[in-house]
Amino acid sequence: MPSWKQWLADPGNWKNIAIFGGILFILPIIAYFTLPGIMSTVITANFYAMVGIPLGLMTIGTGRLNFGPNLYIGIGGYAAALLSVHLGWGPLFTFPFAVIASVLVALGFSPTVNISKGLYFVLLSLLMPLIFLELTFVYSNIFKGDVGLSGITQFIATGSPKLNVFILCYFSLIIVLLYLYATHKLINSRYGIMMSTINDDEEVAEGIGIKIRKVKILMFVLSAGMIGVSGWFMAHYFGTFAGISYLPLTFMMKILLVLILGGRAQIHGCVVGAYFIAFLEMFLSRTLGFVQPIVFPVILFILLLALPEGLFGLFRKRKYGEYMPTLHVRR
Amino acid sequence: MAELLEVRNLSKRFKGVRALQDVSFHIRQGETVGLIGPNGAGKSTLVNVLCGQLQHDAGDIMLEGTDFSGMRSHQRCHIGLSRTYQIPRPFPDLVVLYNVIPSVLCGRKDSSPNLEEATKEALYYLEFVGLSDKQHTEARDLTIYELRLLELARALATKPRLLFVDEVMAGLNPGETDKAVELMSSIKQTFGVTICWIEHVMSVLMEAAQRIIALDRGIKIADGTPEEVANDQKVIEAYLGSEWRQYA
Repeated sequence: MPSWKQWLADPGNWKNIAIFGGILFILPIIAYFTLPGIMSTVITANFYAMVGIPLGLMTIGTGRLNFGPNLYIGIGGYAAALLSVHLGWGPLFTFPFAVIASVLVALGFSPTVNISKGLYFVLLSLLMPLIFLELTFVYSNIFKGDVGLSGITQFIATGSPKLNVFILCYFSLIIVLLYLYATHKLINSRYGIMMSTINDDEEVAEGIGIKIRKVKILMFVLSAGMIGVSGWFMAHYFGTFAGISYLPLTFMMKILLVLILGGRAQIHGCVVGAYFIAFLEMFLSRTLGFVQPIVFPVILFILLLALPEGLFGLFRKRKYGEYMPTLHVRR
Repeated sequence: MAELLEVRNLSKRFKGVRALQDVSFHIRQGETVGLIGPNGAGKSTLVNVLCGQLQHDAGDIMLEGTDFSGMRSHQRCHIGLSRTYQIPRPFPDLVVLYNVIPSVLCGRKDSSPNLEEATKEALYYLEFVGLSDKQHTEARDLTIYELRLLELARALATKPRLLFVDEVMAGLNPGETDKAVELMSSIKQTFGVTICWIEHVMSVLMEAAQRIIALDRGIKIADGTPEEVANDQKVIEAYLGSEWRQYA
């Protein structure tokens, strides 16, 4: 019988799934009856997790930290928005196209994971969303610049905005849990072991017969498709979509913090990081008002220094016999 | 014995430095060949070129008559070339068992075991090298001797036909050296693998190798039985300098 310290350290243990899954499921109900405003924060947290989990997978699967994951939010979001606005399509019909568009763009960009690493990869990936953001201004007749596209079909219209948000809390949570389940399964499969060797030393990994190029491209494209879904979700959630909200550096930094503060790209840590950052941001903006933009980054800066293993690393110790690959951070 | 590896006029340059210059040799099936030379002779460069970590500039490299120069290193592993590293390069964040499983999973093209089968097989190799009790230890926590054993287990798990062993004795104490020599001999007996062994400890190669190839400044200077090479004038000069006689 494992002690509480042992099972708490194992993200796959059913007790953890029950406890943390239970908290995530109860939170919207509590918010609905007490503080309805928190429901939108829950959706924001789920959105961050929808980006953070695939970004964690991408980081481990390619052995590189992508500084421009928000490009695929933009691609997925604009694909859904354009189809919905011009053709009147609902979320069910725009979904495959948002995913395909993200996958195709990622496929075009994927050779960079094989030909560049380190600073070059960081710069290349960093530039992509910024270039796309410029394009949304240059071709404002298509993307409507900083105003964005509006009139996108929303997920649901029950007539009660409160109920709509409540239902979307659960919808976004289901996406997050599906991502978590699929990614957990993948990381613990034979592909996961290959990914973790690439993450550790890709030259040695190739020397023992792993087709590293294939694995890296596969993980890059798969993760980009998953991030694209988050863009699709935001487009149909708000009914409007503007690249200026997701493509600039400030948003990208927030996502990277979700990743690092959660647990150095550890996939379960991304959910912890997403909820922490979303709620901290909301709490500070409600309590500190205009000082929030200064205090928020200062707190994150201190936490980054104080928690090298991230929030998830606070209670989780390495359990022998299992492995949870994380990003290599040189401090 | 049939020829397994044939290297013809192999050359490799690093900008102005000629690391390998028209190196030609062969290794026969089942042989243990020692590769010696002073520091900077090009031994590790040769292994890096043969295993695909570096691309050569000129020459032919053939395994059983098939040219494999255009192959990437994972493909070279699939045709039966495997190696250990002079400075051990484990996957530090993974436990010992997970360092070996990927070799079983991906080291061969003809078989594709599932994770459970691969785990069992990886345990066999760990037991063979004497690391089974460390299977749940993270590779970063191993001693240098254990890291050398792990490198061997990882390389053997790919079921190589030709194993390049790069200075397996470096940094070991006399007791560990004896154990490593014993292990190398049992690898030979159990798996029948052809071995190309880079080593500085000449006494080890004198016993273990059937043939020794000596390199100096990227040029092959000797190729023969251990006794022939140990008494070769060029080899002695390469190690001691051309004016060694006046101090003898």
